Amino acid sequence: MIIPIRCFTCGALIADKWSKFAERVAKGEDPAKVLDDLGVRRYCCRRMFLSHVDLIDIVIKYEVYTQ
Amino acid sequence: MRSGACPLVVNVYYRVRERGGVRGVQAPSIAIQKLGENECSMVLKGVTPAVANALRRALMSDVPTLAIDEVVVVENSSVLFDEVLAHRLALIPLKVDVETYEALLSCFEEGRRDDCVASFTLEVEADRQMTVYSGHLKFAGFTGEFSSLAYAEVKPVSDIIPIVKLAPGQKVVLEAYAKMGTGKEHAKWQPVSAVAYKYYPKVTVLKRECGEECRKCAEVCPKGVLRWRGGALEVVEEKLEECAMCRACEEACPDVVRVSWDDTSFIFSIEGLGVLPVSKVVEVAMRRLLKRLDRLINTVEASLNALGGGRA
Repeated sequence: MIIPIRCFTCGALIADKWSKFAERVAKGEDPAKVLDDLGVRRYCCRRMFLSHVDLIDIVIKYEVYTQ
Repeated sequence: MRSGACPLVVNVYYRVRERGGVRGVQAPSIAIQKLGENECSMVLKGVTPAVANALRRALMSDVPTLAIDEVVVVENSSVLFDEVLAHRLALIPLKVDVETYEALLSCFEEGRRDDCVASFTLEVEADRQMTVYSGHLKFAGFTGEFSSLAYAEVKPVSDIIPIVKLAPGQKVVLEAYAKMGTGKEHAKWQPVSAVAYKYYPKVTVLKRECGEECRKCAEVCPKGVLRWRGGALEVVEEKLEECAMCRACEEACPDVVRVSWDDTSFIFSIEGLGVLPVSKVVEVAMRRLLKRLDRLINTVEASLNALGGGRA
């Protein structure tokens, strides 16, 4: 849905790095290199980025706001 | 070298030792190798694995911190349910200055956690598609007796943690209350992320002049601990601590290299979340550990005395 705040395994903060990661990967950069640059070293945190699908962008279109 | 935590560890250890604990180990010491705001690596010497593990566990689950624990949702028309929103808010690490932390800590230790509450408000309405960030959380002061800490400010470690995305017209209005708690109750209160230790490695080259055939012992090492030069094998001292004790070298040349470890020395690495400086986290963990040891010793002594036999 939306990037989890912390890594499921070690509890490190990851959410604040998501937008930069997504932006750079969308431009065609190698995800491994981007994660290295962002200082995400452990594989538990790296999979959080690699396996995440930001579904909220899709879901948000179907939400009709009614008062 | 800064080692503010050192006397405390020595203290813990000697108390154990005084009361008939561990024998045959040298006096404990800590050598800090790297100390940053959010990371620390150190070598802990002269302790048993039990002491090292007690420290690790205390760091992760016994150092109280602040985290959002109660959320009053006034309005939430976002795509996330109230409870998902509350959960995300709770996981945001909150930064406090050391002075305020001490006040909060003593409040927590006196068992009055509901009296030391930091409150926040969040009010965002989207006129176009937008992301609500942790930076939108507004600190609204402490409640109760802590309202006197007017200068103190509690804020998220980072201002760009996405909380939720809003479509045009959607709105989130809520109040959040942060309380003190420990990692054993919920991971949101953990002050550190990865805390790990390993034995101090001992790599011995049994046969230095081993010629061409042991070039592979050095090549096989993933961490570059061994070096092969001019037909001789040697240990690269400055890389020794990186040895993962994978024994790939031993496998490649069984009679040339021996990998073992010192089970009284530990290489500790601690990674903080930015909630408190790691040095402070270590100090509090030690203090809390010591208190628990005291309580244990006192209970044991009291029950022995009650039996009338004095010390066994």
